Amino acid sequence: MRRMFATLALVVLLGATAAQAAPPADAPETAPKAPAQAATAAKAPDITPETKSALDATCAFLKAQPVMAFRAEIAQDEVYPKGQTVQTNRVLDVVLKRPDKLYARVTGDGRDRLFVYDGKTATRVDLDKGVYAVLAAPPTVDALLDMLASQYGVSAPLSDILYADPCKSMLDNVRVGDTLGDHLAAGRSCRHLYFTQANADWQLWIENGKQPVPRKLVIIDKEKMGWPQYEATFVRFDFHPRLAPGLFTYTPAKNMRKIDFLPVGATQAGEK
Amino acid sequence: MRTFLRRLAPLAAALAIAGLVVDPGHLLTLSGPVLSQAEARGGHFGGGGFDGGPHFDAGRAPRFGGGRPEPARPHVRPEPGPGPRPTPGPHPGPGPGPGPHPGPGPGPHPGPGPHPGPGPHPGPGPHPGPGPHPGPGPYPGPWPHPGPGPWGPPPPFAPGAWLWALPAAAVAVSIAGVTYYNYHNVCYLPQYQGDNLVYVPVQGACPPPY
Repeated sequence: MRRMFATLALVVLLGATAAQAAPPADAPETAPKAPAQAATAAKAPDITPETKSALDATCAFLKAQPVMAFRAEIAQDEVYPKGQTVQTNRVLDVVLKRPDKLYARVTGDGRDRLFVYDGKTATRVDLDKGVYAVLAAPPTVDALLDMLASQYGVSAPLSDILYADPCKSMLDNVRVGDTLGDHLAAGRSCRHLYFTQANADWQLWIENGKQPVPRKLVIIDKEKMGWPQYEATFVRFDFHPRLAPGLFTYTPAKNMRKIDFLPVGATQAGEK
Repeated sequence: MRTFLRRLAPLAAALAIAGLVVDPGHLLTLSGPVLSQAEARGGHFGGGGFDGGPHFDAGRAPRFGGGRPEPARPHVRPEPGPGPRPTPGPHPGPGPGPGPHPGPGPGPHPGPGPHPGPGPHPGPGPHPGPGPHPGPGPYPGPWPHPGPGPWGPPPPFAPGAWLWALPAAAVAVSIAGVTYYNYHNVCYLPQYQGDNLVYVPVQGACPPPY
């Protein structure tokens, strides 16, 4: 009988301890994690010197080019609200003339889009849908990219290498960076770097040789369901391109219709 | 028998307490994440109309239902914050500074105009030359939104659902230089929202009475 009471007491004690340890159902989940998150954020990023120097070399090279043209083949995952993930493929042609000229043309699945910027206005054209919009623009590409993101919610693809200082903010959120060795990308031998940050994992292949240009970029978006991937393979770089007159301006055809941008944050009723 | 009952008692007590701690009601909710994960892996492809693959033809979106897809982020750099620049409304009024449009300005027409306030101005209008370019006019200050076109601001948007792709049955209607799309007697106006082109419903009858 005494053994039975002792066993019962032990079980009751264990149950009470477990009940105290379990958080209440309505307690915010993030509350106990806050100190841990703060500690993680304060921790210095763990990037190997070899990785840092390889990234610095490519950034310094890109920064030194006053004119740059490249073609990238894009494979981008898109996640639908019910979870289905599909991949879309596009080709991106970019001509950048620092500090105030930009041309980009995206063609491929579901898109035939042109974007031109001449230092005064930025024009976005959806050639397949017959519409375009004109925005008054700031005087530099950097300010333009910031304005598009902050005021209009436009994510310029591969904007990381379009900024005047390409590496300025790329490592801001990186926690770990390392080198995986020499691997092939776009048919060339490259240093294969990988980086981990809270909201994304990304990899960069930098060509071995005199021109340390990026040859491939893969971003895994950890903030979206299913961790969709964005992959860009740089198949061509040209640092002395012949620029056609009027490349950075757009003259609309007769059948094109001008539309506006909704401000960032505008949503339809019932949508967050 | 007594020995058996004696051994059974702790087990029964443990089960009873476990029932209190675990909260059996939560056992049912565990199926929620499991089901949604299964759905995320494509469990509804058969019933969702995934017949023949996604449709990228003009005017047709993949029929997965539920709305637009979320693309993977195309850059590594952190998104810039809202910044010091104010977020422009869809159509800022004529502020204290010089407006972005050179010319007679957006003020109401002199005389007993039939349109009080900044209503749309059909007809010949005060802006000669219907060129869609904003012109070389200076844009002082923090790069304001170009504002309404030469035909005036569009009618206010209605709170209804947006369209992410234009249905084949939508009919284009051009009123005062603006192209609307009439679908089920609702006028939709194409607008850029971030990286997407969306069709936003417009208040009132379709076509608008001007």
